[in-house]
Amino acid sequence: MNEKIIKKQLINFELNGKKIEIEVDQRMLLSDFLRDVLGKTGTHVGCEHGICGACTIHINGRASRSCLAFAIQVDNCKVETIESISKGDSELSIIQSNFKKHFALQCGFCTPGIIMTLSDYLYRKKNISEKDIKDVLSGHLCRCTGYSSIIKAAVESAKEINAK
Amino acid sequence: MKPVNFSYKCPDNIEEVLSILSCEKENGQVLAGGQSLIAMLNMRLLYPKVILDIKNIESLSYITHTEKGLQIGANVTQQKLLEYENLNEVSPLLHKILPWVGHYQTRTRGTICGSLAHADPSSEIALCLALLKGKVKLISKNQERLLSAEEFQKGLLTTACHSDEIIEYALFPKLEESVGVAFNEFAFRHGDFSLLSVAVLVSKDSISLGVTGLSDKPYITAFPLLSGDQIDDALNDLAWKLHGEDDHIAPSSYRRNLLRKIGKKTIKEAMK
Repeated sequence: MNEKIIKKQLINFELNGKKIEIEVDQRMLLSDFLRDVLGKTGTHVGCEHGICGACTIHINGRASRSCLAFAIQVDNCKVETIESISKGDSELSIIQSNFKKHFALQCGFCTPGIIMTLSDYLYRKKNISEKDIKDVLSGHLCRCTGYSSIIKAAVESAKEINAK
Repeated sequence: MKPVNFSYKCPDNIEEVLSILSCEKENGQVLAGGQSLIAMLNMRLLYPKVILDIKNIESLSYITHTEKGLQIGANVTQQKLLEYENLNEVSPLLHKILPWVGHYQTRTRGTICGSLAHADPSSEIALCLALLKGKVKLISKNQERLLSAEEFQKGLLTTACHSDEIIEYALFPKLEESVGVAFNEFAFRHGDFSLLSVAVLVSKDSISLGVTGLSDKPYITAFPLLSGDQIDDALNDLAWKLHGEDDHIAPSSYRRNLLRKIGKKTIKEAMK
């Protein structure tokens, strides 16, 4: 039933501030495209059906699952991955420094996804409560930390971002 | 966990979508947010030949608030509706249920109409549409149909939408201001498929109750105004009537108990 020829198409999009023009397989998932074609391996792939949240990135500024989008769909979009978050090789972002301070990661597999969610959500609203943070973190599975340190880091980041 | 090979089309007007669908019929698949569809494709539960992405169709990206209620185009994401100005006054039930629909990270792409088209039995949006007696507008190359929620959702992942049709919009009718509204659900993790959801509307003389988790689509029923033990009895009767089925997650008795507990809590909240 499947046709053997893989169909390709040219897309233009912005990845972490850089314009990219590239040919993609029509059926390729955005998560695989970022990792295997563009080498942005900070985006992790866990469940591939939207449950675990490890592959969360920004599409047009909104935290989204990259395993639930096709690479071809980001034509004319802005995409940001975890590689865009720190301001240089040495300087961590507010959220990253708080993760470090509160030991909010152990194995680190879920961390890029969580940081991408928080770096959208925490900048979107003022006066974010701990309940809001727990609610938004429910979209990520972390099997190491038990979440309490992640919540602490997120609450402190929210305060710092608010104060800015 | 990768989809089959397909050809991707991204038309910028609805006429082109309808004409492709009228040729491709069941080989064509409309893609909106993709938050259920792409998971289904990844698991190869679906293998369409043509994927029709409607993201560029501006005419489907609107929310209109009229006397009749909220009319929501096929491209409107769940998060966009949740952030709609004064949603808690315009449609208090939608405002209550939307935070329970998936996670923030899926609501940013997942659409209202896509959720209806997917017709998951535990869908909060389908429950809301059914309880509010909402409507779904379907269009194809040759005809237009306006179906009630009851006519639209046939059962488990099944709707009345033909293979050459697309949902143009869903209409969520307006409630009178005096109507009390409440919603609760139980899932092992917030945002997962719920084991049981209950939505309740309380008006001057009756209680309307919608429930998912015990049947293959939202079940809607109405009671006269009840109090105290009468509520327990009515919910117990309803639990046994719907019965539910045992599955790998929970036995049916567990779900019936959830209805008794969550049903009562939700009715009481709506009566306040």
